[in-house]
Amino acid sequence: MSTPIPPHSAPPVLEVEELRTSLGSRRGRGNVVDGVSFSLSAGETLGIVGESGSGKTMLGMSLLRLLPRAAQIVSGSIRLDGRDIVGCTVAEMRDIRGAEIALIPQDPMVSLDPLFRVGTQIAETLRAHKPVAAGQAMSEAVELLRRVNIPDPELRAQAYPFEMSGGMRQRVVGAIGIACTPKVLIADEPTTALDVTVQAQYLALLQRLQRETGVALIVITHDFGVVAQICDRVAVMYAGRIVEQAEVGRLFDAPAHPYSRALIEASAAMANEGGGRRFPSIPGEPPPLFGRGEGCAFAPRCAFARDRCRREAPPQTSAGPAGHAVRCFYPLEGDAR
Amino acid sequence: MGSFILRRLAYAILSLALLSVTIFFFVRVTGDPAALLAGADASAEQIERLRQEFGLDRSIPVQLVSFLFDLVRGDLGRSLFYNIPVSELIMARLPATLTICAATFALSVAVGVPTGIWTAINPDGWLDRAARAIAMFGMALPSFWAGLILILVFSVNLNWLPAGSGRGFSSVILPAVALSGYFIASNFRITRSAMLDVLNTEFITLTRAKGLAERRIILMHALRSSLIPIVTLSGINLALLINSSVAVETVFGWPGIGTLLFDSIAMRDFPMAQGIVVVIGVFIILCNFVIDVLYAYIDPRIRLAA
Repeated sequence: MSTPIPPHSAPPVLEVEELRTSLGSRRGRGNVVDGVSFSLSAGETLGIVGESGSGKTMLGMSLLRLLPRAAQIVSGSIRLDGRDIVGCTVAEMRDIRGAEIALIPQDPMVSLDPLFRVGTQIAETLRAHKPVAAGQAMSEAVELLRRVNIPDPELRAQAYPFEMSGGMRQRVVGAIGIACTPKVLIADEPTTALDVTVQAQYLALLQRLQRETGVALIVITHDFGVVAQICDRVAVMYAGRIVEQAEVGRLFDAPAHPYSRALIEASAAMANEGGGRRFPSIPGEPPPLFGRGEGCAFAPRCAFARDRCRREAPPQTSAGPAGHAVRCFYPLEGDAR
Repeated sequence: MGSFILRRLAYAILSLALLSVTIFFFVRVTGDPAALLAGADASAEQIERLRQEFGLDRSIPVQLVSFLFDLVRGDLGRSLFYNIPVSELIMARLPATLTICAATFALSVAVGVPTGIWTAINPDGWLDRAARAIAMFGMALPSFWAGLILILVFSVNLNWLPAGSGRGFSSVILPAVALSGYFIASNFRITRSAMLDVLNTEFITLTRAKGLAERRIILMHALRSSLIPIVTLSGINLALLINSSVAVETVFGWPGIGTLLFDSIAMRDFPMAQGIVVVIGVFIILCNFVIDVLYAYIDPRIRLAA
């Protein structure tokens, strides 16, 4: 296991403040990321948890400034080592992406170009950011494959993606992620495409790479198992907002937001029953993107909601120990289990 | 790669053999060629003489073998109308057709593919809207009509370009433009839609997340994946091109293989028509062979899995 890094021991490499990303369509505009703030230090791992549609992937894409055409950042700041990248030009972002902030994509089966050798796909990342010759880049690519535990890396560098298994491709995209030793690495659902035995191996690999490089890791997931295994802190997203963030242990022991608590209970029940008869769920549905009301987005599904929750949106408040913050007028107290 | 090419070459040769045998029987099942050649008012004696002259009095297997041997030697028989070897006539006419087809093909790729790439990168821009509207028009435009209009405007009224053949490069321009409407439009459409599909894939997102230069993303990664449908279409288009060149050759008075085929059918010059069909068949089989090799070159999955 990794040596625990005390929070905020170093100045944060990434500070996100009041980030708002809106998405337009024929039906209107809505904020897929709605006033998100958090910060992250070197070597720290933050889990971003939420249902699909909660805006967690959109948050990741906003941090990389790789949003689809219909979406854009409307306000807020993303400070990477003190520099606000929201104002960066296209060319500046190209230099930053892959070099300072990198992505490990969701599905390794479709994230590699099928027509290029994996060695080439790693080497081109290096060559995009460093003045290295093709041959030098290729031997660095082989080294990277070795670091992500690919057997026979010299041989494998010459292979095409279709000649590799899913677990191996996942490690290749991991190698691409760390190729230029970025400061921040975003892993989008790093394990969903893998089967369970490979999942644990891959998470261990991510942890080892983090220890070696000191990268700040953002893990976007819907799986509390992943959070428990590798994250230091966790942010729970609902309807584009971070409704609660805390140390992982603290969140599991004493979730303050009714939504966090419902999520944890649902995933605990699922783990206990092992996919049994009753599928645990939170009643109701996430709110639509367009035409969200004034109040707390979770209020319609919340067992504890009162009139005030439906009238106004709760601000972020402290919920006990340092670093535990929640957006709820009536935070829960005590043990979830 | 080497064994792949050899295997494809074997297929091409097999296709050629099948084509030849098919043509051989096709000519013979449509009736007695000798009777057909001699005409309706020929006497039995005349027909019999023709039959001997063409070796049609021999047994079918013997005829087939000699037909195939002649083919291999490049002997396609003698034209009934011109009374010289068919192969000589075809070789005299083939360059004209190939010139028009090559020019049209080059034009359709040079205009259609870049436009498709550009509009896929900038969808719904003014160029995209204009190109889509023009492409719809180009798809529907009959080439012989386009040819007539082009002659009227650029030859008769403006007197910029020749309306006929034989004046070098300048006489290739109008027929190639007239013929290229459909081919430019289809190349543009397939490139645009293939590029749009590829640009939405996750591996393109990852190339962006890696911070690659946009030029490399578009021209190396996205275009290479789009090449498979573009090459497939090109194969179909080449065959179509040979067939549709007849109309343009007629309009522009080009002494090509299309007009030769047209005339030989009109004059019931059987060996001539048969020879042209063989040559066109060979051309199409060759195109398919080249396309198979291109597939393998572009896509390692085809190269290594085959």
